[in-house]
Amino acid sequence: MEVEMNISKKKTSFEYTEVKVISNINLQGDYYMLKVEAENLEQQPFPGQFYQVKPLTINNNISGLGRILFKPLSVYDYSGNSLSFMMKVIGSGTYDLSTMIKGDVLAIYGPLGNSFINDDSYTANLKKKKRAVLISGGIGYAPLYYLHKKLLEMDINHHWLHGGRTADDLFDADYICTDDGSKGSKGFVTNCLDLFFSNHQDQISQVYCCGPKPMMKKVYQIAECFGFPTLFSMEEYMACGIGVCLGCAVKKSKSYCDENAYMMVCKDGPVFEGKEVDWDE
Amino acid sequence: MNRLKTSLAKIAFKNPVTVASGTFGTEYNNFFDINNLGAVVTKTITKYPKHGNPPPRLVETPSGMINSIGLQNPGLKVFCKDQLPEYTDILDDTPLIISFSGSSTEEFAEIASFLEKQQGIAGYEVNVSCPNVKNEGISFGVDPESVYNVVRLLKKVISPEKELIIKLTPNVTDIAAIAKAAVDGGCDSLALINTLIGMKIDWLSGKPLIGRGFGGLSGPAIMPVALYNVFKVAQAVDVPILAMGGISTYQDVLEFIYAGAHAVAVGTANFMNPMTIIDIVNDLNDHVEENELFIKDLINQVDLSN
Repeated sequence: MEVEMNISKKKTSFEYTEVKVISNINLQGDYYMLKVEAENLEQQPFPGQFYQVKPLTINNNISGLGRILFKPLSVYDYSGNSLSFMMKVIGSGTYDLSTMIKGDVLAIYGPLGNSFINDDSYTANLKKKKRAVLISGGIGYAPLYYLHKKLLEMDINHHWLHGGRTADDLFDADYICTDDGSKGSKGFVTNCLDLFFSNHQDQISQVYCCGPKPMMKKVYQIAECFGFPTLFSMEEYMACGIGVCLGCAVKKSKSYCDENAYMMVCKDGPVFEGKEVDWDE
Repeated sequence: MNRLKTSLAKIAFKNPVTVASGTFGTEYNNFFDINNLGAVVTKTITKYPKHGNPPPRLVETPSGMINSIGLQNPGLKVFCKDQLPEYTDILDDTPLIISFSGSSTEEFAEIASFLEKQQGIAGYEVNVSCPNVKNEGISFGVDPESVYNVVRLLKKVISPEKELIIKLTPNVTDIAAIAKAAVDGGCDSLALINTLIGMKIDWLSGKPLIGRGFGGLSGPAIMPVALYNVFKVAQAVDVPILAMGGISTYQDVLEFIYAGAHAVAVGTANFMNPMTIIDIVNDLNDHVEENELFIKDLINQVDLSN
């Protein structure tokens, strides 16, 4: 009896481990693909989930005390042997990660948070209609790639629209555009949504989106007009990633709950239904 | 032989390492058995639920972070119904200390009376860093008289076997004066320091990177300040001190013990690495075993000779 109690007490839903960098490639502009060993990870991540990561060594030197927090990074790809994170250098934390080389050690815990794909009944429902739509902006591409891969595996037809500021922010998708017109169509990815949604009105089962907040807000507003269900991957500064620090607050929609309440990106998300979120915040 | 043993006034610790309020929860039992800690301190509980402050709520700074969470918590009743059992289920002989805060002297006492009816609580850490609605919104913790009054009233409500710890803010002119007021009021021990008020601004947009403009600075950046405050208070009063402020290694713990701490709390370092605190406990144990030391012998033994 005593032994059983202890096992249930120590039940692990995520793990801390230290993994080696396999490769770290500059894709284009400020974008990097950090690939780490994943043989020792007990759990496989689901699309939309993230890991908390922190370099323990950079260029084979021990990383100092200057930066203290982990960075939450969405899973870009997972193969069983390796785990890939696509990232964009924004500040000193992502800069540090971008300078890691093969053999460097990354502290990592996860997979954390919820997923784009909930359960079997959800996927069965997805299959009934003709297609899902993926919409990303800039580094918002990262979590949607792993989703795209899983949707392909499940044979769920989908269409991916991706936009960026310049050609450096573009990655392979069914439709691409840039703010400056340097590659793909010129303009915001949301500019074409009205037309796209109208043309596929009876076919769209689900809209998935990740990108800058103003873009996600626009996607929500347009999708809402068509009555399409939406799922957004959100981001906020966070410290712990496991629901302790309560730092990564996103305001809940007033119509959805009691006023002024917050959801935590790490625990309640990072994936939220569009209608859950107060987009005016 | 346990060389790490220590105690506050009424709580015995198997080792001097506990957690700072707000930086820890039962979630950490996923990473290690939290019964390896000297004690566990909960997040601060208030009488009514608090939704917390608008984001952004935290930002990283050199060797530290600033937070402005706004004491988000489900309120006293929901805490006792849902969260307290989660703690008592996991903890065996590890003492549980409840952190709470009130908006008036009477509310502090009300919360304490309610908690007194619960099982599995070894003591209370009273967070007096919040505004007193009956004193023009001035924080209790910066006013010796307010602190004295809160402690006096709490002392009447709390049963004698439970530890009453008052947590001090460093954002005052003379922390020793506040410490003395708390001791005069009858507290059993003192916890210090709370976070230092700090700010960070986006140099491009000119916007503060904390939603409310400013917040509490924590992490290794504040350790020298915390250490001095602990030293100063240890010289001024004669109650045990639970020290905190930037601890991230076992060496840091020893510095605080020398400065006058009976026990220490690890806070932001739990975010620096979820395994930090358990590494500290193990490293500290190795250190006292190798050097045949007893933690209790080192308390307040800072060597000021030339």
